[in-house]
Formats: sequence, C-alpha cells, structure tokens
Amino acid sequence: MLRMVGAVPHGLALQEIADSLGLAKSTAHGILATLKHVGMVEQDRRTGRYRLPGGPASSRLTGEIDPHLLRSYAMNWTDSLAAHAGEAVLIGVLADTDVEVVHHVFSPDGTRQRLVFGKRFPAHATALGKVLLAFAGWRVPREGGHWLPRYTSRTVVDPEQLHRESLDIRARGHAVAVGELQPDIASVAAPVRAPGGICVGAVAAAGPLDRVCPDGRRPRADLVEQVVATGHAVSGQLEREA
Amino acid sequence: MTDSLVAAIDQGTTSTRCLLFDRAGRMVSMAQTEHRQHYPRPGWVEHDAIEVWRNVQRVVPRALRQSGATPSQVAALGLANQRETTVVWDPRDGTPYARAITWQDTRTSALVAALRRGPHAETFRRVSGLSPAPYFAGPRVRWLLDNVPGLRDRAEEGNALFGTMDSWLVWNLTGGPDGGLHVTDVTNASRTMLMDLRTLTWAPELLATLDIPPAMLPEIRGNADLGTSCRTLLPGVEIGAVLGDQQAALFGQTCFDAGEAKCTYGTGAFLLMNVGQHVVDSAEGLLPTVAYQLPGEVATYAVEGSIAMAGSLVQWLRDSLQMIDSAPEIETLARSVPDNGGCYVVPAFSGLFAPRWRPDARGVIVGLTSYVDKGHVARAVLEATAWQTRDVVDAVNRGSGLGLRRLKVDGGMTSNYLLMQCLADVLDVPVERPMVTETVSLGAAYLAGLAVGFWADLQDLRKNWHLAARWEPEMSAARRAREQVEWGRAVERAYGWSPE
Repeated sequence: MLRMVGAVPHGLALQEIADSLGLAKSTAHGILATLKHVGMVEQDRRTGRYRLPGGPASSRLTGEIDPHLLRSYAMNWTDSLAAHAGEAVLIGVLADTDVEVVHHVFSPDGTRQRLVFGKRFPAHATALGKVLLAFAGWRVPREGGHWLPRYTSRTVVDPEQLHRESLDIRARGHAVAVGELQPDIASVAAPVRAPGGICVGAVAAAGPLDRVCPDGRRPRADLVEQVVATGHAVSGQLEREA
Repeated sequence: MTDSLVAAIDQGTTSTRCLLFDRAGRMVSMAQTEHRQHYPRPGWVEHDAIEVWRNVQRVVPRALRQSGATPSQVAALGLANQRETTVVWDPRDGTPYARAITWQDTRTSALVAALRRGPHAETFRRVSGLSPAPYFAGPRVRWLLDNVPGLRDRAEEGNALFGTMDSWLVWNLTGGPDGGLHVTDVTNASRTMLMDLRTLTWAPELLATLDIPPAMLPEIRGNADLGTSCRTLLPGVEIGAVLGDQQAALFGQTCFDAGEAKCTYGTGAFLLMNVGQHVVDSAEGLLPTVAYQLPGEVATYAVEGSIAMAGSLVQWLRDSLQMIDSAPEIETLARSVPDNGGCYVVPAFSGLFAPRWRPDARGVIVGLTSYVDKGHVARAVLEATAWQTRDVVDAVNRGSGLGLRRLKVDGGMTSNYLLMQCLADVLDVPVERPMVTETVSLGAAYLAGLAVGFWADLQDLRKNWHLAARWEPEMSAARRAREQVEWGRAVERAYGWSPE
C-alpha cells in the first residue's frame, strides 16, 4: 500500500487504493487510519487524498534503499552503538518474508566472531524482522490455521499474535526478540526511516540472552534507548544526505 | 568529574575536525568544518592558513558543547595533520606570507627535477631517506623564498617562520605573536626532505643544498614531548602529542609491533607498516619514515606506500562516467556479476605511485569483449584497489623482511564489503576493521593521553582496540596466482602511454 501511495506524487483517493489492492473500502480505510496515526501517510485536507509525508520528493525512496548506501551512512553510528552497548550490531532489510543482514559490527566482548553478511533470517523470529514487518505494514497471511515456523519454545507462531505485536511495535518504536530464533540469543531493533518516514531497514543490537535481558524476559532499558537513538541517528543521516 | 576526556584535532586536506574520546577509546563527540581549496593555476593547490586556524577555533568548542564537557575535563590535546603542507608566516603578527602550499601541489616539479639531475639527489636519499619529489615540504620552502618578494631577507632576519600545518597550529595555540612555540614533531619533520632520518635533527648539508636559512625552521621534538599547554582555546590543557595524519592512523590502529600494518582507504590509499627501531631503505619504491617517538625512547620507524587512486576512481565512475548515483552503489553494480569477466582497470590517471613509480603510465581498461558489461567494469575498479594494495604489500614484505600477517584497514571505503573481501582474497591475509574507524584522531588522542598519563602504556591502548569486522581469504591459491599475472599484464599496458 505504501509503495503504491508513494508512487503517485499527489496521492491517491481511498477508493483508488481499495480497488487497486482488492480490499474492501472499510479495510483499506482502517489500514490507512493506522498508517496515518503512526505518521507513515498523510491526508490532504482539501482533497482527502492519501500521500507520503514530506511531499512528492519522498516518493523516490519508498521502502527501498541501496543496502550498500544504507551501510555507508550507518557505519559510524552502528560502530558507536556496538562500542557503547557492548553488543553486536546488525542492519537488516526485508527480503520476501526474511530479513537479510546487510551490515554487521562485532561485539567488543572479545569473543571470536564471524561476519554475518547476506545471511537471511526468518523475519517473525528476530527483532530486526519484526520491526520491518511492523513498519512495512505487512500482515502475515492467516489462511486456515496456517502457523509460522517454530524455532524455539518462544517463537511467535500465531500470525494473529504477531499482528498484535506489530501494532505494539509501531506504537513503541522498537521490537524485541528474546530467545525466539536461538534459545540463548536476544535482540532489540528499531526502524531506520528514509526521508518521508518510510521504514527502509532496521538496526539491532543482539547478544547473549542473560546479558541483553538481565531479568530473562525484557531487554535492559539503556540498551533499548541506545538502539532507538541509533535508529533515529541513521535516519537523520539519510535525511541529511538525501 | 575531571580529566575524563582526551581531545583530538585532525587538521586534514579538506576539513578540520575535533573529536573527543573517553577512557575506553570511544568517540564521544565530533565537530567538523571544511575549508576552501584554492586552485590558482593548474597543478597548484593552496589552503588559507588563517582560515584553517579559524576552523580549529570553531570546531573545538563545538565538540565540547556537543559532549556537554568543559575544558577542565580535557586531560590533553592531540594534534594530527595533513602532512607536507607548507606555511611561512611572520611571527610578529601571525600573518602568512603566502597561502599554504598543500601536499598535492606540483609547482616544485622543475626545482625537484633539477635536484634529481644534480649531484645531491643521492645525499637527500641517504640522509633524509627520501629521493627528491614534489610531494615533500622542503622544496616548497625554497620555492616560497624564491618567489615571495622580500621573503629571503625576512627569513634571514628571523621574521619568517616555516612550518608544516602542525607547527602553524601549535604556534597559534601557544600564544601566536605573544610567545608562541615554534616546534614540529619527528613525523612531520621526516616529510620535509630536510631532516636526518637517523639523528632526527635538521641536516645542515640538505638545508645548504636547498639554501634554506636555518633561522626559519621549527625545533624538532618527539611526538609526545612538546611539554607545553594551550594558551587559548583550551587554556591550560597540555598539547600532549603532535603527529602526521598517516602516522596517527598507524598509532590509532595500535600497530605498535614490527610487522603490523594499516591501510587507510580514502581518495587515495596509504599503507604504513611498523618496521621497528631501524630505518628500512627505500629500495623497493617505498618511503622510509618515522612512525612515532615516545618520550625517552628511540624512534620507531615505518615504511609507507601510497596509492594515488582508490576512492577517487570510484568517484570517477560516479561523476565522469555516471555509472552509479553514489559511491557505495558501486558494490551493488559489482555484485551484479560473479567476476570481472576478463576486464581490468589500471587507474594510472597521473602515473603509478608505489611501488612502481611510473609517471609515464596512464589509465587503461583492458580485456574488453562484447561480454563485458558495466558490472564487470565496476568489479574491475574495486579489484584495482585491491591489486594496487597487493603490489605495495609485496614491496613492503620484500623491503622489510617482515611478512604481513593481517591488514588493519580504515577510511571510508571500508564500508564496501566486496572490496574488503577482495582485499583479503588477493593479499591472502585477514583484513580487519576496527570499531573506531576515526583512527587518525584516535591515534592523536592516544599519544596525547599517554603523554599525560591518561592511559598507562601501549598495552592499555591495545585493550581499547576492538574488532568490528574481519574478512578471511576465500580465493583459491590457483585463482589468486592467475589473477595476479593478469593484473601484471594489464599494468604493463599502462606503461609508457604518456609521451612525457
């Protein structure tokens, strides 16, 4: 929907959007209301048409950015996050229903690590992926009791639950995955937005569960704060370089 | 909270920056301002030294403000600078006699050509370690003495001081006309062509050959031996260290042992290897230079090999060929193909630098067939940077007798993962990127912090070095050998193209 709205500089009417996507008008309206609420689309007061915030120029960057360009803009910020948070840092973009890692900074904890680049992870089991799903407005299909693959006892496999979590992630501005892909790894992620507000990637800090979540359930508050701040900083860099 | 930070000034070719670091060597804040490049004639590149000093005065308070720190929290100041850039000024009021002549400026070509033909070329090489080249500061001083009316008289009266950018800034920081200290450090002095590389003092015979009045020269000191404090900007803060930018990067990468090397990939690329306490001669087309000298210790030396075009070749692809919108997108293009398709690019746009030193070479693209598309050219462009590094590394290994076991990298191009993998593949050693890529500033900060006891010793600094990424060689030995032959053949095609 965002891609379609972004492709038309002067915006689209509700009926046009609903028709093009084969949605009921009320469904399309509900989604647009949510997108509007989180600032990802805006509505022209005079014409009532929906468009991306930031005017026609932003349509250049709807949901996709060259991953290598993203990495070069992000590198100083992600290095700083890894140094201060003491955890590995990853940047991911959405690739089908996976998240693809386009940048990796090792944790400074002295352990031997291997560069994770180009590797894909299931989006619903990682913080990076959950941010991307949530902010891309994706809704995992819920066809006849179709469950998502399970990796650990904590993997969210119910699409409905994932959807509820997505709404939560959009409201909070960050996602968390605690032992959902590998039982002993936890991660926190925040969106990276292009000018206009579209989420083009996500940045995450990931590490041993007991270090990321001292209470075993929730990530430490300072880490969440640092990850979200890094997401903002990289977004700011994209804005400046645009 | 007192003495919790070290400040670094990186006075570079295009900009002046101030960075603050904490005890763990992490960057706390950064402020940056660019200065104007003046191109008054073809081959001339100048900076306004006054503008540069003003920019220093701007960025330091800005970096402090950003971090919320006060000058009293700054334990020391380290200064790293663009090397070989030459300033001559009047100590009575701090007015430069001319704009600073930068390291890229080639106006001394004729002067240097005459020196090379004359009887003294070998003396320069033997004493300063450097064969005369327009790259170094000494001939620029002579050019100024010959071309600025009245300057020679002023110099002989003691009313004209020479310095590289470090001297100019330290003089201003320590009071300027009001008792400013006129000093330089061993690394900057080693790039003048005027210093005896072994005794680390000005060489009278070289000064006489270039007819430079000794009265205008700064005093040479160790990198962390200035023993002086700022009188302005950060009043009372000790100027803990001064060193040239590439040496600062070597130090910031904690290459403290012989055999450790770093390469900085910017517009060009600069590879320096620590070779220990002895000068390694320049027989392999590399420059011997001082790496650093710690208080009370003998100097540690390095060999340096520079590559003229690295990032600038990618910029050429972007600006002149318009094959990409932004430099990082070369990676996307290069990854659209699995290999170079037989295409090689030799970027000898203004000849080849180390270790080949062929001013007669010009750029070539070879191996073109109908099969080759822009993806292959993009790949060949990245591979050219990797193979040029290999050429320098081979020369460094031969010259020093030390084998490179891993290469530490920094600079903007380290965000290009394909290039980093390609480097590991052609060098056949792991390539490592540190977590703080601002290694120039970090090196200046490290040395300054050492000088004042903020950090205890080199071991303390090593603990701060963290690996951010590492690329392992993946190419087969057979393929590497084949590609090296092809690269060598491509380079031969570049030789002799320029009629000069």
